[in-house]
Amino acid sequence: MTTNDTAIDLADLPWAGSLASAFAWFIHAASDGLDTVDLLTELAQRCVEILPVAASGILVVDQFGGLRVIGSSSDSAQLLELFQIQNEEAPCLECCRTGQAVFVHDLSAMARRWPRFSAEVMGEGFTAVYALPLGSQHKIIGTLNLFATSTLAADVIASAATLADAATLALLRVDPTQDEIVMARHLYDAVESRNVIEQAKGMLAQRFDEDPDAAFRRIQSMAHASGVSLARVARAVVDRREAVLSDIPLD
Amino acid sequence: MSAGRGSTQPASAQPRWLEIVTAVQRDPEGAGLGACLCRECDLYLGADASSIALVMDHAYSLVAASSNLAVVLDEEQFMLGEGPSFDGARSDVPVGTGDLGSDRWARRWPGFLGFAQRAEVQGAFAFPVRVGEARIGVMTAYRRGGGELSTQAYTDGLILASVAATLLLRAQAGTEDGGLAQEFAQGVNDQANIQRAAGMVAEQLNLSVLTALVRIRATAYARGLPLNVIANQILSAELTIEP
Repeated sequence: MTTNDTAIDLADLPWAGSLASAFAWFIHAASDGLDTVDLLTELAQRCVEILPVAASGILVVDQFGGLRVIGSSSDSAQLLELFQIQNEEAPCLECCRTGQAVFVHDLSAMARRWPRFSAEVMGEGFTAVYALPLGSQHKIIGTLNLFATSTLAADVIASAATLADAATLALLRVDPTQDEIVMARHLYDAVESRNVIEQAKGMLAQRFDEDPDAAFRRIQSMAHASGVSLARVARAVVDRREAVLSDIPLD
Repeated sequence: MSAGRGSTQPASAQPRWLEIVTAVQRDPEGAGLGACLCRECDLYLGADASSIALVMDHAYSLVAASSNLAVVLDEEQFMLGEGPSFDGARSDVPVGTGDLGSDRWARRWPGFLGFAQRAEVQGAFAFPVRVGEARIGVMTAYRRGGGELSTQAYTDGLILASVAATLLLRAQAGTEDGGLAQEFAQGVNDQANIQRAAGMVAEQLNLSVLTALVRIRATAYARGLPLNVIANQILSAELTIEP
């Protein structure tokens, strides 16, 4: 299942923590409603910050099927990509057409295939170029392009692909209206209320020397009398402040 | 990724995350979401056993595991209050090692190390399951053999944990207010006797419930018995924890 056998110490991979944080950031940003341009600009910037990549840029397919530059780590990367579009020759375009990643480990060897592009890129001091697809096989929304001054290790490319995946995942959200943070809160509350009710049952059963069912009925009647939820009564019991239950505002 | 210098090399046909999402959602036997996540965690991370659990405040509840080995290794950590899953549930980034016995990790998790060695497990890798700042739980891959995760396995773990968060919350979204999705109900119910026992001990010894939970864990550890066995002994008054 793995395509790369490079053994690394999880904790020692220099960018492991940054990669995990960036991944989480993209997923979170989507649920915060961050817009596409900001998200993709962030992707280009994170690649340069986290990985040993000299420059990076994002090309997206616009509504007319053309390509446009949407985010880049620097002006120079932006210029290069504009150049690609104008010339209609370059790895990024090929990646966009085929949906497959294109790795150019040594640009000088590819000068014949992409003469003007190679000359321009090498003129900026870069020797290697990588284009990774954004989107799925069925729907390519753009490419993440990395420019480097030496061949990138498989680790680095895999990490960049993970960031590209996170950004794509965020952009292609099936149901962007679903607020996962709110759902996480509901899940937390549902679990927490069950736990605290059991804790309160245990305390009351012990205090009044009764069985758990009787303790639960006691919680129910306290809830009924004070007009608050079972979970809030249970919380008050556990915190030993059930005496002030009547002061809890109605919920 | 063995293409020579200067070549253009096509990578896999579809992005990794899509492949993983598709794999997780394949469930011909109706095993359930949690089981599918653990199955793919075993495959993608080369694990011998995997688990996924909710961890909220001090309460741990299992969602699913690919084998009983993962269940006991998880439970041991939450009884001890140490280990990669225990730390991973509270961490922003994955926590783990392929060499639990090395000095560095043995110092960090001495109690868990002994247990892992008896279970013949050398590696444990825990990925936080979270949505932004909201922590939901932890996904852990256990490996009998030593060795660190490849970069690909590590990034696959990140993708799987993110997919887990999204799909589990989507399952929960289908329930009524205050209800619990089927995926979580069993694990949370299994915790009920432990939580109730904590309430009893808190009342007996005039402790906070949290402190009572710690005392119950310590007792379980000292007697070498699972937490819920100790909890049942407390509930039936067979066992009284001394002040």
